[in-house]
Amino acid sequence: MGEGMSPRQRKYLPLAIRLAAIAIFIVIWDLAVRLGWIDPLFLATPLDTLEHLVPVTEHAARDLAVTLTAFISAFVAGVFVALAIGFAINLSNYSRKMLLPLLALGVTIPKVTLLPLFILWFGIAQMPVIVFGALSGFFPMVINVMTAGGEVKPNQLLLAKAMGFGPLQIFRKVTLPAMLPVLVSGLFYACNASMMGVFIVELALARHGLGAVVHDLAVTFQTADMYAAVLLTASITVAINMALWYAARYFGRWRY
Amino acid sequence: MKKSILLGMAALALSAQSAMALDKISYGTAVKLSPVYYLPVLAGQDQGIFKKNGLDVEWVPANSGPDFHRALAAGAVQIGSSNSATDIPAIGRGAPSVIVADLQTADNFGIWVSTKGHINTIQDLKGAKIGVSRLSGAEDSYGKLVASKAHIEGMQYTASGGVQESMALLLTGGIDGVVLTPHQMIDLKLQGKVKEVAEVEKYKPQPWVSYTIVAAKDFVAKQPDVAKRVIHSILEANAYITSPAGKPWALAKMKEISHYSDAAAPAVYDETALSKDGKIDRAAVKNVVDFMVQYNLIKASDVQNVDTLFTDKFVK
Amino acid sequence: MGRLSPALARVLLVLVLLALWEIFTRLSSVSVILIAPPSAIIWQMVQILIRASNVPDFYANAWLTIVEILVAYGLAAVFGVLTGIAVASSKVIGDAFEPILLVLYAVPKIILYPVIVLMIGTGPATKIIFGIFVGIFVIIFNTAAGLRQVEPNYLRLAHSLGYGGAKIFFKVELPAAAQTILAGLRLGFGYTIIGVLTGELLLVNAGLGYLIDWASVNYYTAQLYALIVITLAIGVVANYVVGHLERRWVRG
Repeated sequence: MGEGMSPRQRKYLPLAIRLAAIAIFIVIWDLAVRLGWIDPLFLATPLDTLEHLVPVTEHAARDLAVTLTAFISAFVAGVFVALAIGFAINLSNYSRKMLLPLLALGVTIPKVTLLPLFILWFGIAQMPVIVFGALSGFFPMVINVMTAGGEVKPNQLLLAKAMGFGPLQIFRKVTLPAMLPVLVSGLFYACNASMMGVFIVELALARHGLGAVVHDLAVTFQTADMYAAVLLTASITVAINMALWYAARYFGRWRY
Repeated sequence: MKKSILLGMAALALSAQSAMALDKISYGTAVKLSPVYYLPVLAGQDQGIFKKNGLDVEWVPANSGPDFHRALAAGAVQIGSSNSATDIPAIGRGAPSVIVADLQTADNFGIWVSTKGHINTIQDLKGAKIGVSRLSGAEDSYGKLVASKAHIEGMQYTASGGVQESMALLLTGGIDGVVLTPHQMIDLKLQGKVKEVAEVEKYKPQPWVSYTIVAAKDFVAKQPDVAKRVIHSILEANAYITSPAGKPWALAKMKEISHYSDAAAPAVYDETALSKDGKIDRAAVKNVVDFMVQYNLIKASDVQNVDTLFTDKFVK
Repeated sequence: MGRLSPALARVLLVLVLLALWEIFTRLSSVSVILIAPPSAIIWQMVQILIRASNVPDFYANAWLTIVEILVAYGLAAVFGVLTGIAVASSKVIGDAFEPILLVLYAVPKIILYPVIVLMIGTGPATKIIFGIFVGIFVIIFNTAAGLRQVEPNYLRLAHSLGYGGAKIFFKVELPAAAQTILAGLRLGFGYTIIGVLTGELLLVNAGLGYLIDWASVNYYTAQLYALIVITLAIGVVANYVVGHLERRWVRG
C-alpha cells in the first residue's frame, strides 16, 4: 500500500484514512438515530450533540473546574505516592518480589463497591473523589515503577561504580534513564485510570463535577445535553492522553 | 483605655454573633432527582425557613436508600428524607437510624407499559415480563401485590437496572412493563411513549407510610433540639410547597431540576401530597413491616419490635 | 531476612494486616452496616462456599461471571493483539488509527452502557461486550508499543541472514516484544474483570456483581466483603492460570 505514490501523497495518506474512518462513523451514528435503530431517548445525533456543546460547557463551567481540580490532585497524588513507594520497594529485590503480586491485585478490586467506606473515612466533600482517583492511578503506576526497576541492568550499575560514580550520579546517569521509558508509560495508564476513577465517583455520588452533570442529565433523559457533556469530558481526557502518549513514544522504549 | 473599650465591644459583638450562629446540618436524601426529595429541602433553603429556625442546611443527595443510610452511619449527614421500604430493612439489620417523621403517606408506583406494545388494560398483564430495578426490592413486591390483588397470573419479574436501562428495555420490547413512579415517567407519558396500566397505591393496605424523615440515632439523642428544628422546618416547607403561594415556586423548581416540560410539572405537582404535620401512625409502619415480611423482603426476625423503628416525639 | 521466601512473607504481611483490622473493628464504634471484622468475613466466606449462607445461588452466579470474564478476555486478547500488530506493522495504518484508538480509550465507556443494553439486551453478552471495551485498549497499546521497540539491529541482522517477512515476524519480532505484550495482556486481564463486574453492577440480574449488589443493598456487610474477597481470589487464580497458558504459548 502506498507504493507508486508521491512523497506528499504518502504523507497525507494516514490523515485521509483517519478522516474517512471518522466520517463513516459519524454517518452510521447519525443514521442510527434518524432511522430509529436506536431510540432518540438514548442517543442524540452528532449535530444535536455538537449544538448543545457550548451551552452545556457554559452551564457546567464550575463542575468542569471541579473535575479538573480533582483529577489533577488525584493524578499527582497517586503518581507521587506510587513513585515514593515504588522506589522504596525497588531498593530491595526481595521486597519487590514479595509485594508485586499483592499490589497487582489492586487493579482488580471493585473499588466502587467500597465507596461507603471512602465516605466514612474521607467525608462527602471532594476528598473521597480525590482519594478514589488517586488510588485508581496509584496501582497501575506503582506496578510500573516496580517493573521499571527491573530495567536497570546490574552490569551498568557495576560499571558505574567501578568508574567511581557516587550514588546520586549513578541514579541520574544510569538508573533514571533506564527506568524513564517505563515510568512514562506508567504515567499514561495512571492518567487515564485517575480520570476514570474521578469520573466514576462523581457519577456515583452525583454531587459535583462533570460526572454529576452527566448523571443528572442521563436520569432526566436530556439526551442531547448528556452526550454534549460526555463529548466535553472525552475531549479533555483525550487531550491529556494524547500528550502523554506522544511523550511516551518520544522517550523511545515502552515497557509495562 | 480606648483600645480596651474597642476590644470589649469586639468581644461583645463576637459573642452576639455566635449566639446568632446557625447550626450547620447536612440533610441527606435517599434519591436526588425526585421532587418529593428535593422540593422540601430546597424550599427550606430558598424561602429562608431553615435560617428562620437557626439552621444552615446543606443538601447532600445520595443515590440510593442504602447509600443514604450508610451516609447517616458515617456521620456524613445527620438527618434526611428517605422511604420506608429502605428504612425498615436498614434499621432491622443494624443501621443506627430512626424514623422521625412521615414525609408523605402515599407514593405513586405503577406498572407502566409501552404504548407500542399489546398491553392496554391491567388484565393484559397476564404472563407479562415486568422490569424492576432489583429483584426482591420494593418494586418487585409491588408488582406481586398488584398481581395477587388483581388476580393476574403468570407475571414474571426481571431486573432491569436504573431508569435508563429500564426504559431501553421497555422500548425495545425486552420487557413488557416496568414498575416505576410517575415523576420518572411523566414526560414520556406526555410524549405518548408510555402509559400506566395499574396503580399500586390502590392495592396497598391502609394506613401506609411511604416517604419518611430519618435521622441518625445519636444525632437524635445528643441534639434533640436541633433535630426538632430541622423536622419542623421541613414540615413548614411542605406546607409552603402545597400552598397556592408555593405552587409557582415548586413548578419552576421542578422544571429547573428535573427538566420537566410545562405540561409535565403541574401533573407531577398534583401527585405530591407532602405531609404538613409529619405524624407517624404506628399502624402504618406495622403495615409496611408486615408487607415486607409477607413478600420476603425482610425476615420476621429482622424487625422484632416495630417501636424500635421510629420515634414520634418530634411530631406529636 | 532472606530466610523467609517472598511468598511466605506475603502471607505473614496479610495476616498482620488482618489482625490489625480485626482489632480496629472490634474496638471502634463504626456501624455494622459499614464494616465487618475479618473473622466474620472469613466465616461468611466459608459459609458461602459450603452453601450454608443466605447468599442466593452462589455457584451458579460465580460460574456465570467466570465464563463472562473468560469469554470477554479471550476475545479482547485475540482482537487486541491482532489490532496491535496491525497498528505496528504498517506505519500508514498506525498513524491513521492510533489517534482514533486513543480517543476511544479516553471516552468514559460507562456512559454508553444504556446504549449497549438497548442494542444487545440484558444477558451476559452485554457484560462481555463491556468487559472487552474496558480491557482491550491496554492490550492493543502494549502490543503495538512492544513491536515498535524491537531493536532495528535485530531486524537488519535477520534480513541479512535472508529471513523472509513471516519468519522475521514470528522468530524475531514477536519474541523480542513478548515481555511487553504479556505485560499488556496481564493488565488487560485485570481491566476486563473490572469491565465485566461493572456491567453486572449496573444491570444487577446475575453474576458476582449481582451478588455483591444484593449484599450491599441488604446491609449484609460480612457477606459483601466476603464476596469481594472471593471475586479477588477468582481474579488471582484466573490470572495465574491464564498467565501460565500464555507463557507456554509464547515459549512454544
